[in-house]
Amino acid sequence: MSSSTDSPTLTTETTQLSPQPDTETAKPTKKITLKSSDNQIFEVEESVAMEFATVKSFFEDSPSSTDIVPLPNVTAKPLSQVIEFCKEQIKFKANPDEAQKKKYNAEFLTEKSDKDLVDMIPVANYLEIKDLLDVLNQAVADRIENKSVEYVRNFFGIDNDFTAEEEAALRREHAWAYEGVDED
Amino acid sequence: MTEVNRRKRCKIANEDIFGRLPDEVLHCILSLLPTKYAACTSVLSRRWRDEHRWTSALTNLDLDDTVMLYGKNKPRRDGKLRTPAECKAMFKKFVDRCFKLRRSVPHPMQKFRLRLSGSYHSSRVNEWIVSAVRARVEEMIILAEDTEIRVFSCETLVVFKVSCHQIYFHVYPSTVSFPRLKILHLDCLSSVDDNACIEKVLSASPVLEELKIEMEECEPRESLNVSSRSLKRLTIHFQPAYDYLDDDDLLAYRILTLDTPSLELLKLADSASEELNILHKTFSLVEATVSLGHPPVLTKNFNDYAETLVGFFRMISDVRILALSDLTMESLKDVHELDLPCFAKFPTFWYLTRLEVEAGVDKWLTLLHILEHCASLEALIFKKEYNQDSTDPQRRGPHGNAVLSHCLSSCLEMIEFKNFEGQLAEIEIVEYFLRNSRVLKKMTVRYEREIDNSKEDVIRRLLTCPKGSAYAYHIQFLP
Repeated sequence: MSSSTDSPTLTTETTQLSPQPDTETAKPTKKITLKSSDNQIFEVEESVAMEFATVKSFFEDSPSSTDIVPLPNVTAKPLSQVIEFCKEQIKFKANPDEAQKKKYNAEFLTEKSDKDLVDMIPVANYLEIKDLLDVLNQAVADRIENKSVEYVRNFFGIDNDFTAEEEAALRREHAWAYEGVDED
Repeated sequence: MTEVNRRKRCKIANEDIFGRLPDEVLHCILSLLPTKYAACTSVLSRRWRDEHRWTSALTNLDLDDTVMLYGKNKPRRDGKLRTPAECKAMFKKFVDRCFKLRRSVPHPMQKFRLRLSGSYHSSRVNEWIVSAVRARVEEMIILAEDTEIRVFSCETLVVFKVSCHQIYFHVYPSTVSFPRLKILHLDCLSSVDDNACIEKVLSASPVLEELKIEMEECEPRESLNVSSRSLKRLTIHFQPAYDYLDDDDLLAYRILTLDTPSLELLKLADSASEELNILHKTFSLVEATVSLGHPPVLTKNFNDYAETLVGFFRMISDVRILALSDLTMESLKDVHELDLPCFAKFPTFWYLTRLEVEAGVDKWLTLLHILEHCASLEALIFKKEYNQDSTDPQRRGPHGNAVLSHCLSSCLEMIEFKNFEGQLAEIEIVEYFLRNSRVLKKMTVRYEREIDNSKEDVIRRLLTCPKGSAYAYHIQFLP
């Protein structure tokens, strides 16, 4: 199950590492090289990198820089997924089609595991990609709505550090809130 | 000892994800959740409890008692199910608590959504509304049943939507003011005092842009005057009350008046009003969807209603996009067939480029007559109403109709026929357009059910029909 969801991501990753010449625009586009915290190199088109407000301001501060942009807080896997998302969004910027964009975003989200989603949030936040952050926040909210406390703990990887008595007392305090949620 | 270990583990786990997430992001996720799920997060861990994270999400209050009243009802610890009264008491306590905790949140309330399946004492509901108003709420959505809502003033409100089976609106006299209100939706109101209240709210909303009023049981006596300088989008849905026929006071009839000079979009479905007045010829009007029919009992005679109907179209004749329902076509057909003098005053639509008509083939001649009044029509969408027996000779399609509309020879480029079933009258309508449209570029025939006659025969017949257009075009058959 997990291997089948992982494989398409891997193929897109390779296309990002060795990008094809863009058939739509004849002129060669400038490439920007990003380095993840686990030392993976990503070569992306300038237009994609400019979607990342953090990277954009890096170049605004030093416009002539040809250096590799280090991203110390970002690991390779979520970064590759974020790049995949931004590449699509740029196409929609050129050709606005709200229905297609919605469809793409929905597909992008449903094929991601809970962990993938949660891992992308700090990346989108660090790189300041507002559109993606909005989409991810909504997706996470959708996935934890109506779910038990235990489910949400697992979802975010939170350890329960309450004693049984403390937890029971808290649940009494918000009794209404626990009505109708899925069983633990 | 174990406690310390636990905290350590928790710290590591939290560092994994939440260590990197700033409060704004968490706040955003929590505020996207209905408030009850946000509240659940205080049991996640000590950190979540102690920092009262979820209360920051109280800028967006989304409360719904449906789940607990009608959803899975968890038994209490003693195994008994909670009674609805107990559920409601719990809900009330929770809502009160949310508002109490909210007082410490400095930000204005962005959204207050309250959905009530059970009935609550009006004073309680109004108390919550007043609390939201005090919290400088911007968007308020109330879905309730049998609640008396007092209309209030609110400096900050931008969006206000109320929907319910029955709601009693009362306005505090002279204190109503909505200086920022842009969108107002009022659904399923039925009460004798509504219209005065709606008019009062309108007069207190100087920047209102969107108004939607749906009423299912319109009293014949009540009239409504929609008056707003700023209004751009108006949706009205009026249906007559069921006990209309029993009404003994037949001298009263309903009047709808629109005093909306800036209107751009009008969706009007009214089968309760006997008189329609539009005070300004709306030059700004771009799009109109019209479904008009007279109420079941007419106080005046039909001629007067016909005058009203034709007069209405005269006032919207600058529209660019127009959609007419089967009911509208039925009304126009009656006027057309009776050959009432007012029908001669039916206006020319000089700027209309797209016309959508939903009608049975029996209204075909009336449609042709309307087409004569469309000077610049480019696209015609004809959606056949189902359940019409078009084999009845009275309901046949065109037969040697002599008058050819100007738009057929000069500008009509696209025709779409929806719900095609292959009946003779429909085939003849399509053939009529194929033969007589001089500049047609595209004809689309859509069938949703199976075509009655042999599909291949129908298609062959249409493909071999002589074409009037100078352009090469193709006929599309789409399911």
